[in-house]
Amino acid sequence: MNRLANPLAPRGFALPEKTSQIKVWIRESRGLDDDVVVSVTELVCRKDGCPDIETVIGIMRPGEKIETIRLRKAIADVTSHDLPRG
Amino acid sequence: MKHPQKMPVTVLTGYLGAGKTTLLNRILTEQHGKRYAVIVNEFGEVGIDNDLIVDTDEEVFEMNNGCICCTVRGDLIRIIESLMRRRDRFDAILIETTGLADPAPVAQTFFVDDDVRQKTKLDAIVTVVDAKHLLCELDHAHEAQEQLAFADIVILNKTDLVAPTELKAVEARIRRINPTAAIRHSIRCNVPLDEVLDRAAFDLNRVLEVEPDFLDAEHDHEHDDHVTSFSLVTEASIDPRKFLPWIQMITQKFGIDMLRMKGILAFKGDEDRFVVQAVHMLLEGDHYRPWKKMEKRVSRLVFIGRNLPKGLIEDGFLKCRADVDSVEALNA
Repeated sequence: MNRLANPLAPRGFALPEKTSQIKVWIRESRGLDDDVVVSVTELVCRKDGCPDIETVIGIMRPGEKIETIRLRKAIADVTSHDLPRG
Repeated sequence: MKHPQKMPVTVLTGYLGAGKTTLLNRILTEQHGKRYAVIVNEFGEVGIDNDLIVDTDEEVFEMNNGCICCTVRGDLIRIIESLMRRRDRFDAILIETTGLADPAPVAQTFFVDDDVRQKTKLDAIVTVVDAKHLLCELDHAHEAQEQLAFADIVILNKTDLVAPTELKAVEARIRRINPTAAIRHSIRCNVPLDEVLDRAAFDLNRVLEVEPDFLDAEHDHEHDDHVTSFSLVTEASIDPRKFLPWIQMITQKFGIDMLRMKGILAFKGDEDRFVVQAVHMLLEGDHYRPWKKMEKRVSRLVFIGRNLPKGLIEDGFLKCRADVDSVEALNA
């Protein structure tokens, strides 16, 4: 049978190379050590009021509160100019 | 490029004193052929000295301000990243949460964060409960109910401390909150470890692999639980053009209170089973194996959540039947 496109298909990964590039930009601009973890996630939330798509960057320094950067665009569209200087 | 296999992660939850640490120490000391890295909240309670046992601070990371569905555990992201640099030293990860931890951010970490998703896969949520004290805990603590709601496997521990009739009542109460979990009885957590580890409970092709009688059974309603469950069943084929937008709408509308949802659907004219699951608003579904020749093509959805409007959801689901001439399913 011809199947409909499946809107529930398990999510793929948003551009691993671009994600790595964003992490490098963050690390270089802030001079982060290896023990600091940078997390980059493309968020597609179904809740009313949440942006349709968002890139959320978490900078996780041991023993400190997580620093969060939220960009209202997809990972593919993020450039180094979007990132605030540390 | 060949990707390394994803590291399985088992999450161990349970109310204070239920026996989590006993189970954890068994997993760390018994010969079962697997090496575990362990993330614990109370370092001192584990009777083993090992640099693959990592202390955690249960730090919640709200990726999107205040949205429960986008809330993950920042400490897990950080610790898993650091553990995976030593991935050749262990075969799986075990996370022990505190008795009061909310299981949702723990589970969501494995579906939301891309780095974690790439390297690991959630194997199962195992909840240890104390047969003697569970009923009292369920009456007084929402956390105890939610830990049961999220469970794939419930270890009903300390069964030697209760009479058979009491044990039956405890099991019935667990079933009312979570009809899909596998329940294993134990004394001092002496459950066979292969019934707890390596269960692949979050794989779509394993969804609803439980004894179907439990899903059809009517449960007693004498308790006003914060978390309850219900299952919807139909033998009529489902129209995917109605069902797929409907289940997305239900997830969007009620996802905050929908702790877990699982289902198997028989779509009209489709030889394969369609399987869905959700944790809050994180919804996924796909086609899996064909229906077997002698297998009844029954569509079934199980909802576990807080005060979900069963009548309204059931009405919408039944309007998704292919033989119903209706486009009103979306008007929930």
